[in-house]
Amino acid sequence: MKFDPHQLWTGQQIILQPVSEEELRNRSEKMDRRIRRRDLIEYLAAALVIIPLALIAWKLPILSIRLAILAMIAGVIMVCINLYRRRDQGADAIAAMGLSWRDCHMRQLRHQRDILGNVASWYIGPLVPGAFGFLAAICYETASRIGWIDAAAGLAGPFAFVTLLFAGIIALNRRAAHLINQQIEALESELG
Amino acid sequence: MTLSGKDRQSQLYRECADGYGATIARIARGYERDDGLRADLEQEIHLALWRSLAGFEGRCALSTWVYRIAHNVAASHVDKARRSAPLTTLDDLCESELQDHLAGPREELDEARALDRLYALVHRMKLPDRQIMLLYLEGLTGQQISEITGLSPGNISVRIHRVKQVLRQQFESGEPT
Repeated sequence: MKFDPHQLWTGQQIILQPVSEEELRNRSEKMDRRIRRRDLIEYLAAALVIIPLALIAWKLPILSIRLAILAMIAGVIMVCINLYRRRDQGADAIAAMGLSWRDCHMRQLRHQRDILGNVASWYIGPLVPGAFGFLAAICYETASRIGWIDAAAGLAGPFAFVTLLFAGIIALNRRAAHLINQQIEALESELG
Repeated sequence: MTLSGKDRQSQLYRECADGYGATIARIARGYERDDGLRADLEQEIHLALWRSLAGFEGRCALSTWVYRIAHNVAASHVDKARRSAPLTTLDDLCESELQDHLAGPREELDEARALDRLYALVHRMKLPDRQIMLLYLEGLTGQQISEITGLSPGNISVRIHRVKQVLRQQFESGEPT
């Protein structure tokens, strides 16, 4: 027996599940609330870092360390702003769903690639002055008591740890961005 | 009298739901074989469509918009899920007969089994081949498929040729009537 796939496909029995506009409106509002709640959790997490740091900076009598902590706080705030700017939600993301599949898919891939590939500038970069400034301030304060060489030697471990941590995060993200870029190139060559 | 933003959104949505409800259901079924997850996907498409219509400016036909939203949401669903069996390309399907539990003498195929076989075939396909197959089955032209997928007309015609070949292998029905 032979079948025409078109007739088979369009003639199949479909039981429609009606969705009321009221329900869609409620679900849409729920989705917006969920996004706002997620944002709020991120801000609270940042506050959990910022508040203790601010208290330490306020209590500490040592100016150099206070300045380094203030740089750390500024870095965390900057990262939060960057995270907010780079999130792929809201009206732009909804509008992107109305693009052709190729454009929509490429947009998502490029967005992910750019976020991961530029992690050094928008995520690690703002934290560098605070982290290394803090180590430098401790070294400066300690050097006045035990000398520069001993102070620097004592901080070599933490300095190496922070450097490797930052470099590792950048390298892992760049690797991921590279893989996504390969995916983009493969798609571009496949799809023309 | 012009409609307010929300009224316009509602009117457009009703138009889409009435005209393309069955299409959306078939597309959801083409991307998700699990009944429960398919119902979720269908609702997800309706929700995305409803939200997107607030920004619909009429730069393309409403039907194109519906197909784009449905396929983009479904493609994201497939990407997120990553739980299905390895997918395959049209080239591979052209070269080999579909081997699955439904495969059997074609003469014994009744319509339900034929439809199951068609779905089994669709569910094995990678993107964007699956989109092209589904849109072709919906009866869209190459030009319309090109607008929805964003692939060049040349690319689409090559893929449609392979789609026809695969369907012919499976159903021996040749060209659509």
